[in-house]
Amino acid sequence: DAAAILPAPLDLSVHSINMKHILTWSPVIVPGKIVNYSVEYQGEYERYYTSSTWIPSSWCSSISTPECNVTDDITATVAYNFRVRATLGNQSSAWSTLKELFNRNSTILTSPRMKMSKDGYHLIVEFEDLGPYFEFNVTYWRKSPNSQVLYKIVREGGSLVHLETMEAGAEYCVKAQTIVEVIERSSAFNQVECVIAQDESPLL
Amino acid sequence: GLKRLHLGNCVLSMNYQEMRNEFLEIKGYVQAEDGNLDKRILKSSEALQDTKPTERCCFFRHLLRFYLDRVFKNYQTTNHHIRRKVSSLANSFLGIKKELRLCHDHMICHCGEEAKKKYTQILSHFEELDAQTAVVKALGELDILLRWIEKT
Amino acid sequence: NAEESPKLLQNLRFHSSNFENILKWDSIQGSPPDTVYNVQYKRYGDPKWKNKDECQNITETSCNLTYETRDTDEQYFAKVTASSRGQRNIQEWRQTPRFSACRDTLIKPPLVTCIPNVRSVRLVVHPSPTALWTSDGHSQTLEEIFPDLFYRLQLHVNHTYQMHLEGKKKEYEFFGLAPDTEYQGVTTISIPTPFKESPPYTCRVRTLADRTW
Repeated sequence: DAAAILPAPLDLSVHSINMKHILTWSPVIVPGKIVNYSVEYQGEYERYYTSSTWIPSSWCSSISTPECNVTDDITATVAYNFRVRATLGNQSSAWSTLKELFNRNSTILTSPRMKMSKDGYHLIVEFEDLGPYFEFNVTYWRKSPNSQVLYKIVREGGSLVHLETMEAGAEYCVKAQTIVEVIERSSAFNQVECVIAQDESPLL
Repeated sequence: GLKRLHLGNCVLSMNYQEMRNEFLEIKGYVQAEDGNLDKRILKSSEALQDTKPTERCCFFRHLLRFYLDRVFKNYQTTNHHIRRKVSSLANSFLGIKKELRLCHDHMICHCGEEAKKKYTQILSHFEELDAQTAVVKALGELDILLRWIEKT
Repeated sequence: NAEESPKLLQNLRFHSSNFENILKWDSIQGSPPDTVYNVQYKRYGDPKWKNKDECQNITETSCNLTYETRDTDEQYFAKVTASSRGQRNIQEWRQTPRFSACRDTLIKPPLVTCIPNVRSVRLVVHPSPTALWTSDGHSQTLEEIFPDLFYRLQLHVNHTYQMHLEGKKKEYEFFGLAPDTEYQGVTTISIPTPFKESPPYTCRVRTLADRTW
């Protein structure tokens, strides 16, 4: 039987960082040959309501690399399963599935990379663009006794945003975390960064 | 992002924006399949937002179960893109239904006469039509349900 | 079929902004000059089509259906039948997809007044009128129709960074600016449910010169 000749891919697992979900598996090696793979997925609905039907993945029908970006397939906060099989010519292996189901609310949220800059007395911050799911909760304060801690939500990364108009010579500190509303989670805060505003410019 | 849905004492958050975007991708295709403009399943007379607050949770639970049990699973298409979007909507509905279960377990999802009557009406509109026509029409009317959710 | 090789009309669609719902279509090059159009509309779920009286036997290629499709909780269809007076046998009709003003209307840019001072710029947002009227006869604003509507304001500083403000109030001021300097104010209307965002209203403004010493 053709399927028995071609071994099934092993070690399927999903690596998810900042809501980007990558399915990987161990490649099936056939010396001198290019093995292709097909990926299918099912959500909890398919498992319980439609007698476990499977849906072809958006991007990975007959690919040759042992990984697949399944981000576009996972669009609900329920447990998903994936299966992969190898094909070589008219031979197809058996399907392999995940050992553990995957839910996007388990994605790893890294603390955001942040760039600080000044324009005169203006304190400016920029975050990396992490995609449409992400907002940034920015906490900032002036480094002085009983100064007030302020908060600002930056809706998207990838652009320079004015945070505060600083007072001459004062030091301001900033830290931030990402917020992902659809899974109701946020990242850890990043490293606190501080800047000092320029001194009063002398009267000419 | 997330929408807070107030169903009497039951408050839940749902990925409304995602669901709406998913539906907008299939709206034209599915509504074009529905050639019967004279009939409607989700009628204004049965709107969720006009239901007594104490019975909205139960009524909404019925609606979710209706779509999960009778609509999504029976919608047939050879178009993979449409199928993925329907799967996404179905799994989002399932996620909401699981959240609603908590309200039910905490006895704040009371079913009264109004919820039962409205749901029965909707079922009868659905069953007036032949099976596949009804499924296509109900799926095409998801934006009516989403509108009800917006106004609740 | 008629859909692929239209003779009299094509591209029937609703063009809706701030709930003014205009039905539009295109005539076909070379179609009989005496072509006239009849417009009908219908609420989704109703059995009957209704004539739009003011748009019977018209030669224009648009028809205002704002009043007929004003219920934002309902969905509608429109149908246009084209015929040539001289050549009675030529007749064609088109029908729109399902239209819902609430879902499909576009939001116009906000009305904003930009007021420069020496070291700040003030932006005043004015209520946005719509084509909807209340039963007691006053024109509704977007702010009345969408209670969770808010404004997003940005002040672009020498094309590198922006100052951001947002909220529901009408007046906003960006402080800490340099005198006698050009800035660009950008204001958009944002509606969370159902998610809608207007194109931006942009104003160029120059802060006043500092004459204090």
